Amino acid sequence: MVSNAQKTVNKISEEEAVRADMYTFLASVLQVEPSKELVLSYSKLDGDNTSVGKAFGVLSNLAKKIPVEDIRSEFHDLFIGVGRGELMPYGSYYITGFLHDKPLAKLRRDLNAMGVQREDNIKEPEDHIACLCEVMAGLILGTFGKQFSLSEQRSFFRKHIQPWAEHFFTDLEGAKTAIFYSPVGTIGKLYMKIEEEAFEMDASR
Amino acid sequence: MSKNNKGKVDRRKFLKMSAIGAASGGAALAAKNVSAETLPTGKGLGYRETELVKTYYLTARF
Repeated sequence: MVSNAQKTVNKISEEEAVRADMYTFLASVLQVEPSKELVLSYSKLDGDNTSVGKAFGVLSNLAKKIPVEDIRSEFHDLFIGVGRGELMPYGSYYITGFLHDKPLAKLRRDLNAMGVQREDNIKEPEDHIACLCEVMAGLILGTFGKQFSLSEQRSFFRKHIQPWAEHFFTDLEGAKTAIFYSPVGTIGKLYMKIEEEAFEMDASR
Repeated sequence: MSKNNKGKVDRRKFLKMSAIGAASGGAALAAKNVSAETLPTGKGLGYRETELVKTYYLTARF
């Protein structure tokens, strides 16, 4: 419930709120083919002169130019395909070469310990990149019933995201079928680096 | 300034420089639109609270 979720959201600083927004953005753009409304919202994005900002600018232009149906079919070719898409956005696949392997088991154990569970009707394994980004946003915002400290966030990030996400986003950036999703790959790749560096800066454990 | 505090300040500055300008308005706007859009009628943001755990689910295609 929204009301329940919001009750647990504590006040966080602007920087942390932006981190949550970035993760939510990445989750939203990678979890499902976009609707017309979503593409319209991407077309309104604007970026500053940083590399991330520029990539947002590119994405916004593409959202204005490419018909929604083409974006949806690009998503399909990239992630679903016939049998499989061009890319496999799963941690286990990137780390071991196999789906549903040990990394997924470890992830499930950690999520379970944090009190985070997949809804019963969801079949997608939890090591899907969109799922991991949504979890990060939830940890930052405190949506899962408690505020997760920076060091808890860092530990989750280092175990389950850092080992492969930048590699995945680099693949997405350069994927053969990627036009609209190429700047998404750029944004994700750059943002993973930013997160990695930022986690190193906070010396508190 | 303690080492820890310095780390926190550096982190904040770093995030401000590298992500905030790029994303504020931008990603926030898109994120908000998504939340509103993927909201199934009568349901929460994709999170529901059970007795013992906060449950997470992906508002995905399945």
